[in-house]
Amino acid sequence: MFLLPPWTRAPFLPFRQPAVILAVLGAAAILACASSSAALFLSSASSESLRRILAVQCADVGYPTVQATRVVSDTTGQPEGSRRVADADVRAAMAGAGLAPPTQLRLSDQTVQVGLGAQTTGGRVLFRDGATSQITPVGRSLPGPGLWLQAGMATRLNAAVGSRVALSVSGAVDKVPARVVGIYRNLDQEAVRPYWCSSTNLFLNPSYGNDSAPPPLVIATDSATFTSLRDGYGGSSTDSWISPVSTDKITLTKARDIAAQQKKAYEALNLPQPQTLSALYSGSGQMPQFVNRTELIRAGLRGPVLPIALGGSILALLLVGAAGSYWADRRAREVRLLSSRGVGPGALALKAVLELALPAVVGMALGWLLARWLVALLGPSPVLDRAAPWQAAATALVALMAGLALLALVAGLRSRAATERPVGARRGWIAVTPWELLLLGAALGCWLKLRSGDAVTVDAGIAQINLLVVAFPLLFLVGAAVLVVRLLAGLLPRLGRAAGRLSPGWYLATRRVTASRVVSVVLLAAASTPIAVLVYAAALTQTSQYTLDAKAGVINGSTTTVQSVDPVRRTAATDAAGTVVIRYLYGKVDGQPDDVTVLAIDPQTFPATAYWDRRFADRSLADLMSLLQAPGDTVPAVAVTEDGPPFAGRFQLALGSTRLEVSTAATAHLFPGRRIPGAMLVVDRARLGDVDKFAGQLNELWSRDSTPDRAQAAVSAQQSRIYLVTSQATVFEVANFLGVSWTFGYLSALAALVGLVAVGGLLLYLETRQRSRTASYALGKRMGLTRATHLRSLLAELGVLLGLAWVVGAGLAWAAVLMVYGRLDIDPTRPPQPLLTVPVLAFAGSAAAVAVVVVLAALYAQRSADRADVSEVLRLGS
Amino acid sequence: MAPEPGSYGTDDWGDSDWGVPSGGTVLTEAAAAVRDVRKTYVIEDERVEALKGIDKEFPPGRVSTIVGPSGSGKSSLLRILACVDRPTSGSVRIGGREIADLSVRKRRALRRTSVGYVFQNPVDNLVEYLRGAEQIRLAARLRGIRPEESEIDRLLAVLGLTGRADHLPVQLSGGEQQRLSFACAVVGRPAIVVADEPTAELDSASADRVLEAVHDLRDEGVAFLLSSHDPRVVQSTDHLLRLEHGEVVESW
Repeated sequence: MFLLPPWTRAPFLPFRQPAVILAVLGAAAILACASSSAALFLSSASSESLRRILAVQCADVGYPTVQATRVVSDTTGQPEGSRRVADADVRAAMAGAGLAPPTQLRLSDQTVQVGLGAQTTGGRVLFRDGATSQITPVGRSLPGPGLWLQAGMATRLNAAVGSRVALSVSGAVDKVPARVVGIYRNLDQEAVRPYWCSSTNLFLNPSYGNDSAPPPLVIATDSATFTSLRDGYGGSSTDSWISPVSTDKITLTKARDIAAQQKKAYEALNLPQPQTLSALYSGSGQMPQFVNRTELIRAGLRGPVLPIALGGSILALLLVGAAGSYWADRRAREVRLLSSRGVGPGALALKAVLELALPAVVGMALGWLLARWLVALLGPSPVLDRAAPWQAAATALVALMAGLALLALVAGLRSRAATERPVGARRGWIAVTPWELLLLGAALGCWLKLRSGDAVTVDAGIAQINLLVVAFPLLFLVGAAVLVVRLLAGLLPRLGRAAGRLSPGWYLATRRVTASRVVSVVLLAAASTPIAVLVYAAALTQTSQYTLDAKAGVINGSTTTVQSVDPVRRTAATDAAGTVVIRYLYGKVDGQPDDVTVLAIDPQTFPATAYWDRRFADRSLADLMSLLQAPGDTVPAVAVTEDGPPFAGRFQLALGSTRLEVSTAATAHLFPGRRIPGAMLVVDRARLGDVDKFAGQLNELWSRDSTPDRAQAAVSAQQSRIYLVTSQATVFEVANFLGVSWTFGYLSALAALVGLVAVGGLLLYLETRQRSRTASYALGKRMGLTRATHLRSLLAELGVLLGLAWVVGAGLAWAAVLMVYGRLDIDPTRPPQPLLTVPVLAFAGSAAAVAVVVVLAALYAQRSADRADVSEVLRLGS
Repeated sequence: MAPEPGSYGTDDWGDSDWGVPSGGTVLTEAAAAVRDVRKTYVIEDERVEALKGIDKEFPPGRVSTIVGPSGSGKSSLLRILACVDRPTSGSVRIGGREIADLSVRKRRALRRTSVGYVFQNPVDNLVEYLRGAEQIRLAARLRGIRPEESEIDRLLAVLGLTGRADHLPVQLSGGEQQRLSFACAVVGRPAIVVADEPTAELDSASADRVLEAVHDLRDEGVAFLLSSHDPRVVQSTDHLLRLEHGEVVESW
């Protein structure tokens, strides 16, 4: 049978039906896009994670490095653990691992005493390839081997270029002379050059105004000098060999390769890899740690992304199935003829596959290209692992096979129904069974499990979305949408009976909707799902992002904060920059065992600068400020506690030796500037008077500026020393939370994709019903139906269907959001708890999209009706 | 197993009382027969009795016509005899084989080998991309037969379609299309050819040509069962079954 023309010529037949080709091509493209996107997205997200991790690091931290500690030239008589490491061996091992020729960084393990005459001072001897060209000489320098002294050290030793200093380690008698060949400006007194970026811990101590700087670096001109000096004073060194690699457009695979090469070099040398935290997380050679973090982010993404992709693929599969149904519709005559001649549904299904395989394959290729283009365009990163596109293609191929199988199944069933379905046959059990209850049951299971677990888990500081947060809404939204639509469908016959009282346009629309109940219901469910997913994803994305911003805002107080070790006075410059805040960490309240943080603020400038959300307190910030300034013999305070006010009425507050009579004027759940758990009191700084200067105060200038420049200038203008600058944007390590926003971003992309599916379904709906619509239009025109009325009926038909779909989708999504958002705390250790944010853009955007689709689809259907050969349509019937 | 094409099996229902049609030979075995056939549909919980105990035998080499107003049960009986639908009760025999209780799959096989079906609309009976001879060849191959080219030429000649072997359906008139449909239906000698108002879509001249073709094929021993409102069809039929409200009101 299969060698007969209906099968042998099948691949060429679709060219007679461009609409079928387009339907299958589009459906296969969407399917391929949905199924292949996961591999591409995960690879892209991994690349972007790595890029962001590396972006905040020095350029060379990811360079593969071999580091050997306690290196000596001869282990005889040396402490246990000392080792000999030959430079040539390391270079050979790194070359063997495929690494580029390394540069060397050597640092004395011991603080070396550098002496000149009676003066001695401590320092650390360093050699690094190219170091002497990355320092600023002070005065002349000498050629040849020797040492460069830091200017401060030279001053303390009274040393000059040409002096001979002696190096020793404390407790040892050996001293080794060395010639000073140059003096360089203190590295902590000039801008850090990129060359020194990963070594700043050797000369900077950013805490507390750099008061306690590390020992100065004594720089050897060459490696041999370093070795002879180290051996001379009897010490050991930590030697590093750093192999440069390009980290531009780095992928996780490449990063893994780099980490593997580094490991291979260590193994070849039989050297232990660094284990201490300081060695693991400072300097170069950190790629293995970056790989681990990226893999954690990737693993966190993989959990929700794969089911999302699967969900999208299943929905796209439905569209492919609908294309199979469309094929059976467009090829109805031949299908019916062959079926009447005894050809079974299996053979007809095979015919459908033979006809549609080529467009489906082309569609798959286009979908794969579309997915690549979308990932390149929308990110997270256009950089992909080399294997990712092939994995994506393999996934798309599997999806295509499943799609063709479903297409064949649908085409076969439709073919059988065309001839063999008995007249008046009851609907099958599949159509009658409320299978959506299974989905709702599964959603309930997810929800119960979610209630007893964490929606977000934090692994090594990296937030990972629980799979259930994604699985629950998909199951709930689809199940509830189908159930609601099924219930609405029960009203359709009643609506149909009431149609007679409506105007002609509405009458036609109502009759069309009610006459094809199953099609209308499927379209309603199909359209409501993407709207629901979009609103859900947008709401949770915005809520988690807003909450994260709020957490950072509360901790930081405002957009940027400059902290000073010296008092900061309120000046015109500080007012222009923001507001001055004094923080007392060790306030004592009579009867309270724990210390209380007291935030002394300036009520005039505070409201305009501080981060605030109306949900922090029952009163507005302006009200709270006026309460703080209320006259009286006590200091009014806002008590900030999460579990109700512990300070009722009047109480005594001690700040160091200063004692104050304080009264609680108001309470707040949360207040900007709260950095540690426990109670906090907010008072007007002017009401405190002179406070004991040993009360433990921190001086801060908060600013709304996105950069700290103005605030720093205002503080520096008072000769106050800045020791820390923080910003709301950098309170959290952004990369740690990427997975959360990317997960919802991917979910949003899925919603857009499902929207495409729905639009495709709508077009198929219009196409399938076009003949009967045109026939009724032709007949209606003879009865006086105008084009405008018919167009209105189309707008009403589609508007009611899609408008209802929007209401159902948005309503269900909001219900799902209300159930989930409280669990979605991506950093539960820090307040506030999730603050629900309404996704206005998603609501408005989806509504606008629905309106646009309704208008365009109605115009398209009207145009098709206008252009149709009415006599042909009427002759063929519906 | 479906019977061999062209073989009608044995009649185990006892004696038949076929009449002797004018100009024909005496035949003792029915190509198809129904006994006490009832068909009830349940539509939206409402029972509709479409056929209420129909008895009729359709002999080979004869044209039988079912007539009756809309809703009389014509289509229901045709669907049952075309092996598309099953009766609610009663017995149906095609080519001597009881088919009333056959599964969908077996009825499909029987449809392939023993039943020819002609739709009302000529264009529905032809594959749009096949030429005249290919249409007949496809129908025969589906029936499990490899027809000789001479047989195809003969069929085309009998139906007045000489010179149309290489024409696509769109290149044929409605009448030519319907005659070609009958050629497809009879090739391989099925037990019965069922045609649902085969002249309804044709003009008078074309309808006459189709009826001539049907009678030419009848003379080759094919049993035809037609449904029609066309008086010409009724006038030229060998046997008639008139239905009203699912009951036989006239039968000869």
